[in-house]
Amino acid sequence: MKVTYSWLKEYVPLAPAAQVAQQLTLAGLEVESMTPVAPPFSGVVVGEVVESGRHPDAEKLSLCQVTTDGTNRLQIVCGAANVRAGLKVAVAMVGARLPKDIVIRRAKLRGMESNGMLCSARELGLGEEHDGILELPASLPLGQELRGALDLDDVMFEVNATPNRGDCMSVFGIARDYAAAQERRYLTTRVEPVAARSREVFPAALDEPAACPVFASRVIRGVTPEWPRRRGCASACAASASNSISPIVDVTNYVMMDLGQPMHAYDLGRLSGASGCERLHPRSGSLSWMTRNTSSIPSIW
Amino acid sequence: MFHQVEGIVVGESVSFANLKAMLHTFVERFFEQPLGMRLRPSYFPFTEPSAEVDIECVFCHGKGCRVCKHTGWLEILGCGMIHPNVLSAAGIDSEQWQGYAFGMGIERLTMLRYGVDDLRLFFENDLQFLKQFP
Repeated sequence: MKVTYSWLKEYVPLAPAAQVAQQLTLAGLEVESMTPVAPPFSGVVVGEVVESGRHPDAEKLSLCQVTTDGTNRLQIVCGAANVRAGLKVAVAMVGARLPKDIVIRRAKLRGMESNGMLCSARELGLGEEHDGILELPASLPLGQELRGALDLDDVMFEVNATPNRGDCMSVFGIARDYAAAQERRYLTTRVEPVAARSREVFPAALDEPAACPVFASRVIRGVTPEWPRRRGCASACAASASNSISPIVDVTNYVMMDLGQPMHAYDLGRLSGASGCERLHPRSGSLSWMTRNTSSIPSIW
Repeated sequence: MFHQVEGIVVGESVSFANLKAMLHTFVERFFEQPLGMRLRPSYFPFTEPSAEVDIECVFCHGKGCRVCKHTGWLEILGCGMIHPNVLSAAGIDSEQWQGYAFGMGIERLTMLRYGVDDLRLFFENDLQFLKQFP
């Protein structure tokens, strides 16, 4: 189970990180490693692509106008396919220091001046993703240091919960044990109920009542699939080493990591009547995941 | 391949304190030097409560090095009070009898004791190596 210091701290006051690692270990939740969520880098800020056009002398390069303050424009040459006007991006300014001792300088790329670099996740040491540049939430304020904007000055613990402690397989679960061990107090959390706005229900048929005695669902319409900003959801999920697939999947993963409650989001448009329910609980066959991988399901299920 | 040695002690008043005292004595005699030791709560299906035993790193004496992954501690064995169900399964009345159990890797402890850095050396039958242990 991976958990960040700042996420844990939302639930319980914490000692400094190194001490927390020791306290958890001695409480029976062995901390196997403690690592910074991002390697050191500086000079990277939130920017927005104002214009993106073809580089006059290179097929695969774009010539972009980028702003980091809403007024001034920087001309930056970018090689990513996903660069487009309106996109919030991570801009390494001239003079920025990136991981692996890379220093960003003013440069000419195929004759066009480039005043900085638009970064991919891998260039910032935030993951392996290098198919394109990082697409930041539209809500991030221009000019903010990326480290602050994405809560990157944080520490990640890898906690090895023993098999009898399923209750500690969430951030809240670990915080609850920490509070009990350090403060002799039982930590509770309260989730404010959100009233249903729709009277619609989806009829789910449970064909394996022993394995799944209760299945609760709610129909939510009008979802905007945009990365939510509250409590750094996307970055928290990314930090917890779950790959971001879509904002909706991220939310369900976030809740599971936070509270330990498994959740799943179904696309209502793709479910139809009772036959849709059978697909929720396939007896055997193969299953295609959102990651495009396919697994075969053992017949025991 | 590695080997594991297991021990249990059962009696009418065998306690966790006895286990701890035995471990202290064992660590001191086996490593022939005073070493810090700690019991870390853990889980094994056949003991309750269970603990993992760490000793002060024999290479850096707690300062933190590559071998102890900069924690200053080395895990050497697992132990605990025998689960009542285990005693019952062996036909022993768990209301009257209780005991402790421990298990450790022979090669692992030998490596730490003699500073051997590769487990495979034990099985290669190199006489130059083997004759160092009369």
